[in-house]
Amino acid sequence: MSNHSGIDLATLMSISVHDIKNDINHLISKVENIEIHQPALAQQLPTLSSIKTDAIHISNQLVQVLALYKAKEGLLKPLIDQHGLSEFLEEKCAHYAGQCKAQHKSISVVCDDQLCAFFDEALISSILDSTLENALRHAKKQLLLRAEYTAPYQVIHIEDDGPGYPDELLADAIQANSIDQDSRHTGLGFYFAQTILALHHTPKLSAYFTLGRSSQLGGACFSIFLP
Amino acid sequence: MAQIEYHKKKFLIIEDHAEFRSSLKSMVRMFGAHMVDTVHDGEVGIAKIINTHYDIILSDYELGKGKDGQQILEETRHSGLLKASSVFVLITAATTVEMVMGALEYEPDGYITKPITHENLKTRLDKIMLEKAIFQEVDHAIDQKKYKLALQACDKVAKEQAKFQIKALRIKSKLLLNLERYDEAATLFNAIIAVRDLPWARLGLGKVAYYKGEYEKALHIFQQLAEEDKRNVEAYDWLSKVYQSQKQPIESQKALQHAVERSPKSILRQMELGQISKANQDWAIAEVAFRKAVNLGRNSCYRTPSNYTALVQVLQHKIKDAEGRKSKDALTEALRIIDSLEKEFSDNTDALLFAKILLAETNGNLGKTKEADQILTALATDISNAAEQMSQSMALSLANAYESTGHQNEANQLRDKYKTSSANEMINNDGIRLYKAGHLKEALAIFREAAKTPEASPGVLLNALQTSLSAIEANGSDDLLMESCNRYLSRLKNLDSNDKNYMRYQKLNASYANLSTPK
Repeated sequence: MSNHSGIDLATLMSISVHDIKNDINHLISKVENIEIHQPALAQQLPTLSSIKTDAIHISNQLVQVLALYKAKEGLLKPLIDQHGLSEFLEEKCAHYAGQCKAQHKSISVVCDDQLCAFFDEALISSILDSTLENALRHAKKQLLLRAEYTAPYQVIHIEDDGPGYPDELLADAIQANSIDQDSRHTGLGFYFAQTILALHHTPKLSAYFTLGRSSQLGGACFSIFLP
Repeated sequence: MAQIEYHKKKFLIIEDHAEFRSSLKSMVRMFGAHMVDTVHDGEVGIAKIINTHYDIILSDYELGKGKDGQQILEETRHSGLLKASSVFVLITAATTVEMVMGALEYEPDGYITKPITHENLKTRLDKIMLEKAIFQEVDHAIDQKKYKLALQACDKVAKEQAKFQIKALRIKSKLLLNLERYDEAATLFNAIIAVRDLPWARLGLGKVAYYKGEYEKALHIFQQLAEEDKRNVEAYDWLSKVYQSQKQPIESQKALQHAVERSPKSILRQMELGQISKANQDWAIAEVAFRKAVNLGRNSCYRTPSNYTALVQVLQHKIKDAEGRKSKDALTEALRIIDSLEKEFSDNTDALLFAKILLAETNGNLGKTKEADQILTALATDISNAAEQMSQSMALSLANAYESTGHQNEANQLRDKYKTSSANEMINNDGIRLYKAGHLKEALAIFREAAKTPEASPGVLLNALQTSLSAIEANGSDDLLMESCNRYLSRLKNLDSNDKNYMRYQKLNASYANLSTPK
């Protein structure tokens, strides 16, 4: 790594990424302003909503890159609190409802109203974002957010009715550190999820995720285990 | 989800960007709200909150040059302008969330992260409103100052609503600390930590240790928290307090400087840093801190003449000792601040007298003894009227002015009279002065805080007791104050009947008994 100016490349990149992310958020809010103030125009231009979807996707990825940089520098400290899982998942569901509808897919939540867990809302939310985007891309008709208590973990499942994860990915369940070309859409996401979940732990247990086949919908099932 | 009746709610939107402001307004209108006020900055926002009751306030965190959203929240909640039952939502950019969130004394009811869409605003707001409904009884009791009822309501939520258990217990722990029920608070914090190691619960244990005088233990807890997460500003605040109690003023200042660096817009921290660094004779730090306190205090409920007077006092060192330009700049600033002091506190005789004394001191330091003398002569009557209840700070400036004009005797007399053995004594004197001047609320705040330390003298406890009783007589009964009185009395129980305070104790004890008997 070159070090001409006294500031290392990683820091320099993180600053740039931060700026780019802000620019993209500006772009998103511009699109949204058109959607709010000129709904007729927005309807005539379906590309507009896909630009927004893509931009949100880029923004989410940049958020992850920044978080990973901070985690590497030891600067990422989770703000753990108790959260109700049904509210948390309902909110995510509402957030993706528009995109799902546009693609003629459905999204639903199955969660006992009294379930709750300890986690950093923003960080876990970010994991769900990248997983849901992925699921949305592969789902045929349905997406499902499901939570259950399987002692001693609270488990969040994100399921779809798509083709499911490739066998080689399922075989070595957590290939988090290798970002290979084939799975480049998800590789960063897995690595991010693993890093974030490692920050959620009790003295005895640590959070983790698994990949599997959805028992409900037959497609992919991404499961987060929170102690 | 249940329907929230937004059409019955009064909204305030605080947002500096015109475009975003109008889009937020149109979004809440789409939920059915029609009572929606909008303002473009924090100052106007606070003014609105003073005059109108709002059910829901949406405020951006970043508001340009003026106050930020967190400050609006702190000021309005702290001063009781914003009821516990009102909803305050902070709008943040994803990157500022972590700067804002964490161990803060005043937290909003919820955060909404940008970019904001109609859907995510609605779902987030619904969620916050439903949560608020669960805590309705708690908030209502707090608004009415019925703290015992609030504690019961917290227990009820914790028992019946598993997913709000921790939040309910957190509110309960704050109430217990406020009521100075430290042992119960410690038990609660330990119980929470047994479930999950949450930094605020450990911070709570540190506070309990501090109030019980277990400074080593408190120090250890706060140091550990600060080390684990440098963003934990409150841990640094408390570190500073502990060092102060342990008579390590330099360490205390350092800890507070760290906290101020992290939250430069917090006026209370700037004031505290100014006072500590002034006592440490670190004039450079004190100057910056008081200047910021003056600027942040404009249009704030924390605006007080003492920041102005302290800044002018600190500037005297530059006026006297610095070379050329620096001295001149300091002079210009001192004169400007004296001028604002007179204009902004024109109905405060104490502040006006102080302003004149500072002008005399400044002239004295410039070697303009004739001008200084003229000012002092003109003030003679005011000074002798105020002589018995002058603040220590004002007395010292007056002594300097006397000295520079050749009145060495008067200067010495004043310095002797106002020489205090400890910071505690000085605080006590300030409290007495405020009480006598009829500033009951301010005096009460000072004595309550002073009485919290285990080493508080019988004199301080009696002052706290008397002020609390006066406040109850003036404003009606209040759980918190009645319980405090009870505690002060039990701490004074073993007072020797030969003690000089004994008569006063008996008298106040009788007044309390009178108040606490149901009529």
